[in-house]
Amino acid sequence: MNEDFDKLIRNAKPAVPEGARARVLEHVEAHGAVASAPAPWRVLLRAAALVLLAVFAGVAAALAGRPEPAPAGDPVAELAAEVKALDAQVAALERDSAALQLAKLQAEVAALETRRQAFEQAVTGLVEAHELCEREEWRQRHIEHMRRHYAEEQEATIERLRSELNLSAEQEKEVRALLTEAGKQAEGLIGEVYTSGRRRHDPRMHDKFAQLASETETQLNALLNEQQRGRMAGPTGIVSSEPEDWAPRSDFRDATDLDVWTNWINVTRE
Amino acid sequence: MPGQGTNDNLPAGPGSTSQGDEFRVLFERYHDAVFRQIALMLGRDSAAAEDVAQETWWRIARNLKTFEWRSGFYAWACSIAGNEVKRWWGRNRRPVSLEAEPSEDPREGRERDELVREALRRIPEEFRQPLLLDLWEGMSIAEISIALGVPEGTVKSRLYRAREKFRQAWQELQ
Repeated sequence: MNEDFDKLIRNAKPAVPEGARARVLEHVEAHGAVASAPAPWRVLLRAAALVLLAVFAGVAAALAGRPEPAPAGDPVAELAAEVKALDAQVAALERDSAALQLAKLQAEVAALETRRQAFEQAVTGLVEAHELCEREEWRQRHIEHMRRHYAEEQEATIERLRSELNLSAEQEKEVRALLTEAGKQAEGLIGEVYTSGRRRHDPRMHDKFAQLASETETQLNALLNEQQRGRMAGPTGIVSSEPEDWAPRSDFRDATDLDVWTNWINVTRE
Repeated sequence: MPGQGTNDNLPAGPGSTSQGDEFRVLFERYHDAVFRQIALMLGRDSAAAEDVAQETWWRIARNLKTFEWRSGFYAWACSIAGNEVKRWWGRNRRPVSLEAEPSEDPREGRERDELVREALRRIPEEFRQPLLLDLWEGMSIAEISIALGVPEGTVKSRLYRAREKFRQAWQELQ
């Protein structure tokens, strides 16, 4: 059965026209898809084409290498020249920016850092000089204020001790000398604060005032007899351990005085 | 690899020869087979088949450098020929006639041959191609395997199924 069908199919085989193969090949070669065998005239044609191509390439290279600017009035040539110049600039920027610009920036940063340090030192010096002038002024004013306040306070304290403890004239003289000496020591402490400066003062200023108050109290007790010490019954508070009490805020009269007092408080509490 | 023929002076693959030489070897080997495929797909006119064959081989020559030899050259050429046949039908709607080779059996006439071709056209291409390479081109199983880029076992099975399909198509046409 298969043999019959095979025969049928074989008999239906289409014929390939004579010369069809050659015509198809010629068509393909004529349309340039496949190079045909090089004939002598084709070799000559290719050689001539190569010579012409070389001549054109030489001319083009010569034109491209000409240093003269494009002739005036030719917008295309002028535009090409501009583009070429811009290309050169871009290339130079691309080549140099990474290294040179960074180096320039680093140099500028270093110079600015030097100037910043110099400026900071100058400012620090000015601030310190200003603070020194202010500090001396504040010290003088604060001491004057304390003296005035403390003098009043000292007389009131002596009067109170005299009435409560029946101080003798000799005792009153010794107590006055004691309180005056305490006042001088307080002035010394205030002067020390202002002289040493805000940044370098002894942070234990409160302790020093407390120590001054305690020593003054002890010395006062030493001046009293047994009966008088019994009447005191504890600390009298005649010398305060609080720096603020040596120059009360309410005694300052204007804003400037208030600043001095605030400065004093801040300094002594640091 | 199937499709990279070495036993019949076919190119061994891309770059094995210059492109011009490669094309000529393939052209000499497969021109008639491709032409008959075109003639079968077109119908009866050998002149039209020649026109389509020219365009087909021109496209083959142009695209040969992109052919990656993953399939057989004949299968690839037939796909190009199929596209060219479609283009030709797009341009020509007139009836054509195909000249048959002189039949070995004088009793076989043109009408029967045309029925046979119609039955062949009804077979799917993947089965028709090995059948035509076997019966029209006289290729061996190994040569068909190379031409289609499929293993020889696949060729055998496709040939068997192709005959079965032809018989069904033939019976339908009777």
